[in-house]
Amino acid sequence: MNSYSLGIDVGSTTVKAVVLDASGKVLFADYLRHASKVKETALEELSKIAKSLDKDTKMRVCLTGSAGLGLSERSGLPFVQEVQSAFTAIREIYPEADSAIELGGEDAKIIFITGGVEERMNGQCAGGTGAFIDQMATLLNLSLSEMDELSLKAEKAYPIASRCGVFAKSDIQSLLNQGASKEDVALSIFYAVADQTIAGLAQGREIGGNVLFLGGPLYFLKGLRLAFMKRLKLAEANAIFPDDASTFMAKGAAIHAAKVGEEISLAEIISKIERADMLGSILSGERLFENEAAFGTFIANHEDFDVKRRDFASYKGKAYLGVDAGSTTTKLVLLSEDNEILYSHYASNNGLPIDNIATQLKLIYQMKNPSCEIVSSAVTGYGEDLIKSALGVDYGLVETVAHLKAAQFFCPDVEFIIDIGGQDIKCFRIRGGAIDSIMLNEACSSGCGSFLQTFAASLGYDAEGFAKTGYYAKNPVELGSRCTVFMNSSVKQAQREGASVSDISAGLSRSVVKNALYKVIRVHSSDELGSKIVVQGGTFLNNAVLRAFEQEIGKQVIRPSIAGLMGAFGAALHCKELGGKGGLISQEQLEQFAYTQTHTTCHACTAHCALSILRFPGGRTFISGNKCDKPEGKKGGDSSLDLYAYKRDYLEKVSNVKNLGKYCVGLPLNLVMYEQLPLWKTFFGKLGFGVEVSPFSTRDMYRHGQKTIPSDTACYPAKIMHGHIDYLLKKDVDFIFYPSQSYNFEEGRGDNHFNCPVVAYYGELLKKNDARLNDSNFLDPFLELDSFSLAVKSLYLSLKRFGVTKKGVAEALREGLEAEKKYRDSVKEKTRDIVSEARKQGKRIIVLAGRPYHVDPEINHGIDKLLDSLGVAVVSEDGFDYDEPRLHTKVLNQWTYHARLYEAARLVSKNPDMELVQLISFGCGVDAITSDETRRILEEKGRLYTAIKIDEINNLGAVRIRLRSLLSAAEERERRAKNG
Amino acid sequence: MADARKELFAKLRKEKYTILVPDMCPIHFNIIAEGMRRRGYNMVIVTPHGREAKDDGLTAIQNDACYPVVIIAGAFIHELRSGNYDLDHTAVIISQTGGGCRASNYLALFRKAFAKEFPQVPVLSFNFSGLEKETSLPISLGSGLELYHGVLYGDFLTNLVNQARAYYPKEEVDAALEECLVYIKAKLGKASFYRRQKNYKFFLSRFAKLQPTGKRKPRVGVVGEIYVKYSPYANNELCEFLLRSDVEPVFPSLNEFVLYCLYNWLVDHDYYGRNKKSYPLLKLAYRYLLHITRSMNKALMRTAFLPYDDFEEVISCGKKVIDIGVKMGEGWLIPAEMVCFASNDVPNIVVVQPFGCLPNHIVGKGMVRPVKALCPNANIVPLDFDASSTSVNQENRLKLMLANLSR
Repeated sequence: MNSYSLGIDVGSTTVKAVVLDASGKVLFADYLRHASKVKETALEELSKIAKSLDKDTKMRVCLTGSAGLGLSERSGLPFVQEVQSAFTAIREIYPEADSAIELGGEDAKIIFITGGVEERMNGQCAGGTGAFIDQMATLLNLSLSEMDELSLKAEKAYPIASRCGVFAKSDIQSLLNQGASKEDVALSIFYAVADQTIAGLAQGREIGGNVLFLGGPLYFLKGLRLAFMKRLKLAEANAIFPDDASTFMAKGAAIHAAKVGEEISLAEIISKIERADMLGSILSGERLFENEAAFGTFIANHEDFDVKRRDFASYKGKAYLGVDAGSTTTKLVLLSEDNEILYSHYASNNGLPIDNIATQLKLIYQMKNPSCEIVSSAVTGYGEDLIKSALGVDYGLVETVAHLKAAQFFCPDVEFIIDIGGQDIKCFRIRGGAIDSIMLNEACSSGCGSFLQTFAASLGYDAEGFAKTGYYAKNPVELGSRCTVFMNSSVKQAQREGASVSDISAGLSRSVVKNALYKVIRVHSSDELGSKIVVQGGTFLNNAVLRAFEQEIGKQVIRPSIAGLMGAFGAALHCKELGGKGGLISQEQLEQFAYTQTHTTCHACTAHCALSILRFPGGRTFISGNKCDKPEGKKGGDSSLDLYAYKRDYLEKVSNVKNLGKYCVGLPLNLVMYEQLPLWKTFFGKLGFGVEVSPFSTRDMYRHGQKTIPSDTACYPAKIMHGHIDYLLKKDVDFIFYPSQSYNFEEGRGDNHFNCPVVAYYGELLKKNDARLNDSNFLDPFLELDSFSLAVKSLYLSLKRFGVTKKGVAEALREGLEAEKKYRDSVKEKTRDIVSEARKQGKRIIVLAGRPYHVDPEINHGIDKLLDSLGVAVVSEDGFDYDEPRLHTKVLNQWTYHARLYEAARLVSKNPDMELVQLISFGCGVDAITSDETRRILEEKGRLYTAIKIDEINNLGAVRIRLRSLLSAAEERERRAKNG
Repeated sequence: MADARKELFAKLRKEKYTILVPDMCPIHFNIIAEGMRRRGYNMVIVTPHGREAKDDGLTAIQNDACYPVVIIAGAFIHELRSGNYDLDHTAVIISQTGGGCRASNYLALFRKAFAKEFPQVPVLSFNFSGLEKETSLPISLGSGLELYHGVLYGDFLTNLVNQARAYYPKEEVDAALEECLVYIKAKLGKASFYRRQKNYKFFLSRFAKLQPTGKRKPRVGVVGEIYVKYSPYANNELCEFLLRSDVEPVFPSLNEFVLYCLYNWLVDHDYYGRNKKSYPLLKLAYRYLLHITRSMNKALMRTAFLPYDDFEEVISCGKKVIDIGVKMGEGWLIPAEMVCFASNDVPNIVVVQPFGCLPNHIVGKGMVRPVKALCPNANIVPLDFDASSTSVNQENRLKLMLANLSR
């Protein structure tokens, strides 16, 4: 009799328990949030069960879930993996299901049932999970249910990167800054999650028939359900959403227990869990504060750096307005003649920076004394252009300059500035009063303020309260210094091992600091920061973070009391220096202020940017979403001094040469093919093949190939390859050609001349992961072009079934190599032209150094055009003849493309009118090495090093700030060099 | 150049430098280090524990570098800071393969990481590719042969240990292993060190009572990046985890990687016309090593211990899914081992890789699909490792693989 069974599912955020009787009827089902108290919450569930069942009741028990494993190991109760328990439950309860999709707090899973059982889980760096949705809701300042409701009213969806929460944030921010509606963004987020799950997990395997949807997010969010159904083209009848989705896994564990477990009494289960020793081998770090006295001293030390405030309403005289329109927050400072703050504002902009600032301005106008006059105004930050044109602000300035000005106010000889905001980390080294180098966090090293905030919220705290719990933590957990996703799982592990909320809070503060120091700034010792350090940004208002920072570097730093307002403060100082222009929108105009927003697609070139046009009273407009100045009708650069544009034109012309033949070959224009297109186009043309070349990449193309990508963390250029293949297959080519080349051309500038593993062998991966490809329609012969006769042999062997002769192959290859040389020579000639023309015009020359495939407009997101519009000439690392004696690098100089990079760095270091900007594809392991070496080569000669990481996200806003900072720093240096 | 090297290594011996060695294969390195000590190099294997070494690595090495370099550097730095060494008489050594992946750049990263704190500590290279001419450990034919035998004996013992551990208590297996190590280390420098069959027999005699008996447990293969695959510290004690999970862990031999490197030189000749002069010699060496490798498996006949897969079989398995021209990192070897495992009763496979490892995009995750197509019963789980990542997610994914064990 009494054949009860109990399943307990301990996930990343909740504990779920289900009790079944012998017939499988549910006697008890419940779930509780555990707020990291795993053991206590499980016991709470058990005591609830004990209310209705006698403690001597025998039952079979099984634990499941990501945190259930730890509890199982420590209590000795049996465990079943959660996907397995889901599978068990599906088999029992929904035998008609063909597949199941489960989204959990931090996991996403797909179970295929019919046609070969297969269970898949996301990799550890994949976003698109419940935690991701939570983060996005926080970003939009919405509750989950609000976001859900808004999504149902959306009109359109935008593409958003969903691989990683950090990337998605960038996409969403630029959408919001461009004025996209929250409704549309909410829907886009749900689509992104669906796309990520379908493309990332199913990887080409069809999800059809009856699909079962499990897990919290899919249970609660209607918009998400619809997004999945739409993407999977599921009819209502085929989509199953169980009513007990939230306790489904626990039920599965109970069913599993009924089959395998041993019977024990409820009392025994309780006592086993009670006895579980959850304290594991957690590593704990230094305490933030030993006691309240230590805290008191700390606070006293930081009181000095305050700005005076003055009563606004009674102030008469000139006032200066500084605005910092940041990515998520808006900061505003009104300064008096004596640098006192009359008014300040710091708030999340809820994605609507204009409305927010307009409201603030109205307030200021209402509050100000009639004889107080706002004589000038300046704006900085992401929204600079928008606010400038919307509200008639006098000046715009680069964020970095604004921050420097503000920091120098507090510490005139500041040597290092670290700003940790909600989304960004910005660090500048100052030498001789000017910015010497700039370090910004890259897409994947968030660890910023918003992370703390999201985490606090998930544990039921506000950010400040959460920080406070950590002040006197006894054993702060060491959580590592990586990105959000990694931190999440570190926290999960710590929770599992019984760390308290206060230990976690202190540990997280320290992680934020470590991330900034070791990942963004990459210090090896704190000496590198100098002794005058100013810290700022909203995150440093958090005393726990400030303390952790001082402990980590072993020095006291300056934190101004207005740490969160520094950008706006700097902007105000700036416009005060420059004097009035009086352009600011007046009180009367402000009353009438309204704007309309329209969306359209730009047809000025093939990029077809999705434009958002804001129209303001007085005929002013603001266009965003564009990669270049064409839609704005501005006369920026005309591409004549842009080598990237030249290369694209050349390659396009090569592509457009018509070749017809009995057989048609497809050449994917990407990776190694970018530089070698002239070679292979000529080669196949000469052999009498028709040749189809895939066009420049687009995001759409990427999406078409996305489902065949096996490794999500490969670089974006590699992943777009799948789209090129898809394109060519749809063109009905007879075969696709992508040669495998371990070795690139030997150019005599390095110790070896490898390609990177991805460029060299991606063909092998493509052939094996796109089901439409096989050995006869995808040819990737291994060859080294410098080894002519063996290359001929290899080509002949793979092409002979098309009737070519060995001699023919040899001749064609020879001609191909000539065409290649012609191309490379013309690039060099053009480079010489650009350099001399730029010098004639007195323009700065930027060596935009990357790989040949970084020329692609989708891969570089139009950075060359951006530079062109900033009025500089753009060349690349492969445009020069390097004929000096070989450079001695400290690293092994073993890749052809990077040997050029090092040489370019040396060249730039010798030419004061040149600057180097390195393009780095996110996830490029090779560049982890090359970027440091390139930096070394440049900094050794006192030059600036700038790296821009590029990925599928298009966030030109941040890049623009980066490049403008570089240019202003370079100008500043030049000015000083002339004067000094 | 050659003189500088001679000088350096003479000094290391004369002044009795302590040379720190990473802990990749504990059993192998135990034998090899003893051999090197006999040759005047005081090699000490660093066996890190806990998080500290990883954290030290994260602060010393740029975090985008791969996981192995971060934790090896961390382990060294942690050790050097411990105060247990005379820093003026300590060096570290790491290997370089000279292949197209960034692993060959570890050395430069180490030098950079040490430059400020331990400028006096030489960073030595262990390679066979002619890299780092001034700081690479000189390997004579004699010491090379000794090294290689260290690899063979290490492989042989590791294989016995892993199989025995699945059925017998750790203490008993450790005791047998210890006896074998004492025995073989005592033979270093003597002709009998090279009497392989006799030595294998001795090992087997110690393990005679530890042979797998009864119903064989499911076997789970581990393939992947070489350091993460073998080093228990790097892979969060994967071997122990598998043993706890009641399966028999199967690791490919280290020798397989040696043969793989050698074989790639032959392929470089066939594909690109490289190594023209050394080709006959390389080919001879390859055949010879293959021959002595095979005698290892012969020794296991009539025991319950299962042998390693034959290397030529591994090659032919590899050719079924990938071109053997893919030679960076562990290259074609990883999918080859997967296929070979799956076709030899080890369909459950863990693929370990450093997070963001470039070759592994291709040969690890990128080859799971074709391997499964070829061997439908294969049950493969790819696992990423990173200095900041924790074992929770890894163990959860392993549990999923173990829940689906196929035999």
